[in-house]
Amino acid sequence: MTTKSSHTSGSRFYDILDHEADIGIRVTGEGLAALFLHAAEAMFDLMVRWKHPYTSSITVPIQVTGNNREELFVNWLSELLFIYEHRRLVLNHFWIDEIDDRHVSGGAKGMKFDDARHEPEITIKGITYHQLKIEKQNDIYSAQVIFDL
Amino acid sequence: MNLERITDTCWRLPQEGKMRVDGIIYSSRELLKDIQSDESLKQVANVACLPGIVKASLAMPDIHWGYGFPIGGVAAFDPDDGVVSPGGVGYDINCGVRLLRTELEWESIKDKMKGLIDQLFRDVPTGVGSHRRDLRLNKKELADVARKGARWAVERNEGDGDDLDHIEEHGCIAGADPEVISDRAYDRGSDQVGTLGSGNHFAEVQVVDEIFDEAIANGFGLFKGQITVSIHCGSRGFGHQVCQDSIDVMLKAARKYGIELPDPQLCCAPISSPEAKRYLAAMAGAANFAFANRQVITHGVREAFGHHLHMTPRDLGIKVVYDVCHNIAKFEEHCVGGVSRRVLVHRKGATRAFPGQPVLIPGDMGRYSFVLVGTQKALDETFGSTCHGAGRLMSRHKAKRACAGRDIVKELADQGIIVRGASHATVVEEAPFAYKDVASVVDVVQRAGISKIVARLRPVGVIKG
Repeated sequence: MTTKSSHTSGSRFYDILDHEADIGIRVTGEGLAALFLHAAEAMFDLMVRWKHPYTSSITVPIQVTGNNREELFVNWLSELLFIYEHRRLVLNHFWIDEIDDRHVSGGAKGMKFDDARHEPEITIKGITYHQLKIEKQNDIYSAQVIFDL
Repeated sequence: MNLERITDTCWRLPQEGKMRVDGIIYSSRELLKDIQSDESLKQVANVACLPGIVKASLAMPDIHWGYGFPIGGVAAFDPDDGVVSPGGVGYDINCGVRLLRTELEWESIKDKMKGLIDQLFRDVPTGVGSHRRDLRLNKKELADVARKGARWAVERNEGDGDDLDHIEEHGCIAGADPEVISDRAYDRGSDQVGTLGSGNHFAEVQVVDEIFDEAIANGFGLFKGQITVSIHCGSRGFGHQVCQDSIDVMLKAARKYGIELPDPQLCCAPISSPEAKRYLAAMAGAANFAFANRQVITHGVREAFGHHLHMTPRDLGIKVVYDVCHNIAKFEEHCVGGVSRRVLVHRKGATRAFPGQPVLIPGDMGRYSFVLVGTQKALDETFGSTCHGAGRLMSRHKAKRACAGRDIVKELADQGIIVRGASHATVVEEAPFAYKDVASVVDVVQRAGISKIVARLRPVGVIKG
């Protein structure tokens, strides 16, 4: 079953872990797919402010693997960061078709970065393993991750 | 944590538990309060637990919380039983500083500064995803950059041999192997040679406003009232990808070789292992990318000055004072316990400070930066290393909040500092008050004898990401 991102712009749906030199986030999700989607949304929410809502028209398929849940999570966010940096695509809609602890497949929709439409906020350069935590309590997953700025 | 005072500027974190050596921290009592407020001392202790560490896990006065290794940390490892760790180098491989001197004096160009900074801002791409429309390199060309470093740019007539003589390792770390660098790194770096990027990276026009050692300043070609330019940047997405790729490999390697990690970001492999050799070859390539990057930016600075001031290269006299890495791992010969031996020195947010070598310490964009010189004592005590900068006082978020309702660009302009930033967010995050006073950091390394202050540089114009 496909899980789609559902966050509505303007509401803060993640916590910021504030630190002198860098920044992190704490997100939760009902199920692993929701956790991954919320983390993706939070990362882009930190990086880019949309000046006005626009329709995203470019679709990117995403397939990522990892040796365990933590690596998969880091590799998922790294993949999205690569798409942003290399293809200059600002992503704002995500979905996951399949996910387990070592594999995720899904996609994202976005549009080319445009000064008239987007305001760059925080520049994330890498996803770290430092203090990385993914936990599950009942059906709720939570994760914290620190970004290299 | 339990710290023992050795001198007013040097403190010992005694070996205990799984630590193989002591931690040694260079700091004043005052800076120590900041250092103790985060986890950086624990990180000094964690690094001391790694196999093959030689002498001590060292920390400079600008030490702060990093990933695995603290920023401002120095650690040397034995090539036979030691390890290499990408976390001991950092994501931005060969992030570093280059200082250019000119034949210009402040008095003669101060009325042209605004136009000059605008010209620099046009000529040197800055900011998020900054890229060169005029310099897109394919994989073969980028492999050449990774192999040759700054010389790659000089061969394109962007600089000369004299520039190369004033760069750490002559602008090229030996042993780079472009074959071990991922396609993704080549993709990310394809249009980033000659770009500053964002965050705390900058190009800054400065005036030499104080000379502390006339003879050494003379030797570096510096004089009071002179215009200089500092460039602070690294290996951009190319280096970040090399680091990210290596962490995945090193996490597996640490498990494979049974290395116990207090923090996964300390992941590492024995220096003699294939994983380590591969990382060192890729890291050297990324370091060389950074040297080439600063060389191409130097060319952009020369062009911008020439174009705006209508002066010839000879009249401008823009020369490289020095170019230092502050995120690197290198094999070096050091005297340990009276015996000369080859070790792999990791400097993460720390600068090489060999005797007589210029050391470049940037501050914030509202106050000053410093030129220091390395000393024999640094060679004896810190594997020839010293501090690298001011360190943040406030998080980026806090800085943003503190800037609410303030116009930082105007405030700096009122102080006589012209700032051009690709993004408003970066300028406010990098506001001067978000940083510690770099003077308090260089004061410690001078009193500790591991560097000597030579000159102070005052900013007059800055371009930022």
